[in-house]
Parts: sequence; structure tokens; C-alpha cells
Amino acid sequence: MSEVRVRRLRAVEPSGAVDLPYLLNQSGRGDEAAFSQLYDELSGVVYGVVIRVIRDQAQAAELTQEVFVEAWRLAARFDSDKGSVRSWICTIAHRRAVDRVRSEQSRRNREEADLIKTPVVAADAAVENAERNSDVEMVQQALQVLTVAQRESVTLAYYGGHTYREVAALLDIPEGTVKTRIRDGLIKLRDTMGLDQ
Amino acid sequence: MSWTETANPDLHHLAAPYAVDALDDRERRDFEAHYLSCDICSQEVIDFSEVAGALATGVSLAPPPELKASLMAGIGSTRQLSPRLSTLSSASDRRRNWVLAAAAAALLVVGGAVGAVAIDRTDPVTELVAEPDSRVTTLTGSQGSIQIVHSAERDQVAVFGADLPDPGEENAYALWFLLDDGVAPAGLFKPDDGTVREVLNIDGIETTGWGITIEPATGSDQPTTPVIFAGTF
Repeated sequence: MSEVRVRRLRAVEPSGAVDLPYLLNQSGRGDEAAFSQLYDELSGVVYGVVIRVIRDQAQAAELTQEVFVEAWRLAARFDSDKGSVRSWICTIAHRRAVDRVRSEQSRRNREEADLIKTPVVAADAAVENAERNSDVEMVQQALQVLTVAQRESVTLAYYGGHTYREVAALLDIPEGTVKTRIRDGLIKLRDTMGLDQ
Repeated sequence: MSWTETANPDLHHLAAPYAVDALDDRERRDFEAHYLSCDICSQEVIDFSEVAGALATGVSLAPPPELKASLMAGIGSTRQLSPRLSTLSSASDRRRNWVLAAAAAALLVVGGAVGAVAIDRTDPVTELVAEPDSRVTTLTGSQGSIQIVHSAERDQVAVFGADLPDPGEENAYALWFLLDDGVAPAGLFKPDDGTVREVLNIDGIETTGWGITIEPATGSDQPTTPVIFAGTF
């Protein structure tokens, strides 16, 4: 018990933010307690994005587990100078979710129209504490800063798992326009959320 | 690197759609071959990937509680990879390496079993591209596109090609080392329906670039037809 206590103290920075690179680094040395804490911090993000893209609870759970097993395997190769832990694991998670969706015919059954009309809302169940709640809210607010057209293209691509060509076909607009909207949208989100260094 | 002179300039605008996985397989492959050698695109991929991570945060959802116990039971029997020990030459090389590792990891499994994932045994092309010393060269040609990723450490190249003309039944594409005093044969490959994505074992010759000709499928000591693709470092 006391061991866990010490680790928790070490993993929390003065700001109150959890030191994810530290936890991942420890995980890379086989520290299962650190990995457990890492899972607590990031499982909501991973599961949330995976289920958002593939829209199937059983598959989302399976894929989330795969993503974390991969994070465990590759933990020692992570270098915090090259990007955040969150970005690292989300890259793995989203790519896998998208690949799975695209490899299945089931995607045709998804209701594209609904996706376009429904605003992006995080499920309340995701909100485990005030910290996470404020993160979710910040992203939702940042999305509102985009133009409707930008938001549509970004969300269809990222949450919908569509290629920009598919987005262009769905919206009946030129492919180049979609590429531009995604790019401009991401830049605006980056600036709004202060993600640029 | 001379990508801007030789290849599709559109590739420079793909970092954003790449970061949100909005490229189809072929564009993704082409862009991955490109951005390794492009500092601007490498940085953009990192920046936009952070934004994508934020978008994921925006839809956070607690997974079923039983998932954790199952995961923790599984990792006990999952071997971890060692850290890379290679000396990398620059910050941007290390950065690329990191992004690639994430990309390679993401590439690996579509429906694979948990615990049975093995990055180092799965795909020789991915593995080679992820080598810290690998160097990408885009070849210039009149029809189709070819990129060569070379690892001197491994004496291997990965050949990525698209829209390539059929060399004919009896023929193959021949890759040549470009040397100060001529050329030397490096290997042969045959596109499948115009595309190629394959690893060739090559001699450890210090080359200044790559050339491609069409040769008999049995190979030639020297080119017997005009060079159709070439690129130097």
C-alpha cells in the first residue's frame, strides 16, 4: 500500500496534473502499478474515441484492450520530447479503430446523416472527475469556435472515420475544399486550445 | 532531399488529413514515405496529432470496469520491447522515429488477437522504414512513382511504387546502385497491378543514389534499356 502511495505522490506534478510520461516510463520497466494508473488516466480517452469511431461496444472494449497491450509493449520506446503520451496512445487507438471500420462492410450501415446533424456530445459516464470534465468541456467549446463547415469536415473525418474523399462525397463538395477545411479546422483548434508550443 | 522538385506537391498538404486518419491506404503510404524526409511535414504531423488527441479527449467515455482486470491479467504474459539504443543524429530524426513507431504500431493489427501482436515480426516493410538510419529517396520518372527507403544498417531497401507500367511477362524492374564510375545491380522487383511494396536484400555498397531500368526477369550485369527512374541523395 505504501508503495502505491509513494508512486502516486511522485506521479503528480505540483500543478496537480498526473505525470503521464513518468508513468509510461515506469510501465516500460515492467511496473504494473504504474501501468494501472496510466490506464486509469487514459482509458476513457482511448475507449471514448474507439467507440465513437466503431460504434460497437464489444469491439470497442476489445480494441481498447489491444491498444493498451500495445502501449505496454512499446512503453520503453516512448520519448516524451517527441509529443505527449496522450497523442501517442490516441494515434494508435484512432488508427486501429479506423482501420477496423474500413475493413468491415458494416460501415455502410452507419447513419451518416445522423452524424452530420448530431452535435458532438460526450457521454456523462465519461466524466469521472472534475478534471476530466473540464477537459471534455474545453474541447467541446473549442469545436464551437470552428465554422460550421470546418466542424463538419473535422468531425466526419475524425469521429466518423471517413477519408477526406468520403467526406467530400458525403457533403458533395470538392476534395480540395475538405482538405483545406480539415487543415484550417485543426489549426484553429490547436490555437484555441493552446496546443502549440 | 529533393522531394519538392520531383514529386507530387500535394503531399505537403496531407499532414492534417493524415493526423486524423483521413487518407486512404495508398495516400497514407505515400505520405509516410514522404514526411520522413520533410521537416515541415514531420512537425505538422506532431502538432496535428496533438489536436487529434484533444479531439479524442472530447469524447472520453469510461470503458466497462471489467476491462481493466482482463487487461492487467494479460500484460503479465506480454513481453515488452527494449528501448532503442541507436544513436540518432538529430532531434527531427528522433521525432520522426517516435511518430513512426506510433504509426507502425497502429498499422499492425486489424482484428489481431490481444497478446499475439509482434511488431518486430509482422511486416518487414514497416520494420525497415522504422529503422533509425533509414533514408528515403524519391525517384524521378515519367510514369508512376517510386520511393526507395534504404537502411545501410540492414543492407536492405524497401521499394514503394505506384502506377507503374507493366514491364511485361519476361521482364522485371531492376534497381541499380549509382556509383562514381558507373552502376551496379541492386535487385529486381515486379509490380503487382502497377504497385509494389517490398523489401529487397542488397549488397552493402555505398551508393550515391538509385536508378531503375526494365531488364529480363533473370537480371542483367549492366542496364540494357534506358533508365526510367533515378534519384540521388
